[in-house]
Amino acid sequence: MDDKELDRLLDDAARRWRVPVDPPLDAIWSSVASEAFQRPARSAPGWGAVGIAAAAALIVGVLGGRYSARQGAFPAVATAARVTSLPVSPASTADPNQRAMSELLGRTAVLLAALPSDNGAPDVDPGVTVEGARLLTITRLLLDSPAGSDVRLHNLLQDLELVLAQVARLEPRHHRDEMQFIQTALDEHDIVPRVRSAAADLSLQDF
Amino acid sequence: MLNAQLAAVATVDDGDRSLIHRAAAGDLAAARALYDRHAARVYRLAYRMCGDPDLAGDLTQDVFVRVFRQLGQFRGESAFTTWLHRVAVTTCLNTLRKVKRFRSREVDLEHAEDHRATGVERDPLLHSALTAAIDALPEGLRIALVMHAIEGYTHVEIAAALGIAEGTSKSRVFEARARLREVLADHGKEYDDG
Repeated sequence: MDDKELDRLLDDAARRWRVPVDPPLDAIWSSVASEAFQRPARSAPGWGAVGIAAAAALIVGVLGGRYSARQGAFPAVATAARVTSLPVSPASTADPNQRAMSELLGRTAVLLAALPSDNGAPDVDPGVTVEGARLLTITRLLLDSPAGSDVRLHNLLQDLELVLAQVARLEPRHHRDEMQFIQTALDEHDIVPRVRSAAADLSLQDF
Repeated sequence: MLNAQLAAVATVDDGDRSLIHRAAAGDLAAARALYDRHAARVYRLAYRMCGDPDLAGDLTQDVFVRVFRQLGQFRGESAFTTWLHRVAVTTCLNTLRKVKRFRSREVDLEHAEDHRATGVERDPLLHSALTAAIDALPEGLRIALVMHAIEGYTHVEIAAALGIAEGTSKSRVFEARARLREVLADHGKEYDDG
């Protein structure tokens, strides 16, 4: 088969191959409108969720206070992060959602810094994809938690969700295109500076 | 160079700008107008990639939900269509990878080559062979070929959507065509014979 024959075949395919017949665009729009424009109202935490979160924060705070009163202070090594991350104040343990958010942002910053570059990069460390999958799960949980009700953090979590989903699916080899997608997403949405800024803000809130 | 490409595309859809601002502010009518301008092309690309009308519908829905949720962050540095198609391509490829794992419905390249090599199955439907051959292409080649040769995207548009250089897009289409020519070699004779 030469180029002309292939051109004819592909021209023919453009007219007849997998041509959608009557795409249900109106039905799709209904789903898009309800999901994209009504989600904040649906996902806003109800009074029950707020109550549970407040109760959990209170319990953690009281227990933490009693523990620290007995110990005199938090042991310096007890809070050493399993993953090297941005500084998180021990006081942030008073709010479990905020603590989870701080930990997520710190671990994500470390993960993003550990990604291979998109040109001439070595193979992807399997640990990167595993950590990406873990952080993706946490991100999705936080999106629907009271911690995700802050608009700025919510938008950041949504951007992280897209990036982490791609990181979690990186193939050990032949990942150059995927890395380009990830790098583009990171650059376009200034994700790394936003992660660092949000992590710093959360730390400052504890003082 | 990429900025020049994006600038070239940006002139195409300046009409989207007011709709984008209004939609980002929560104007549902503007969002619908924006959707109406672009949904058919996104759906068509999704359908060409997956061949399943239900999945194409789900993909189109996912793409626009993501786009509308992030519309406030769209700074207009690139054309809206460029951004939209980048989201569409990423969404399609990510979803198809998952679907492929579950369904294993795509024919792999070895099978397609066996099909040519034996010459036993003189497939009367050349399009079946074409479908198998296109589906068997590696992901990067397949998306570039479908976008360019089937859907008529320019290399500038493909480069912007995939985040690659224009030359890379051209070389991918070239490589994809070479593989199709090889796999469909026997069918070409049938095609010529009518």
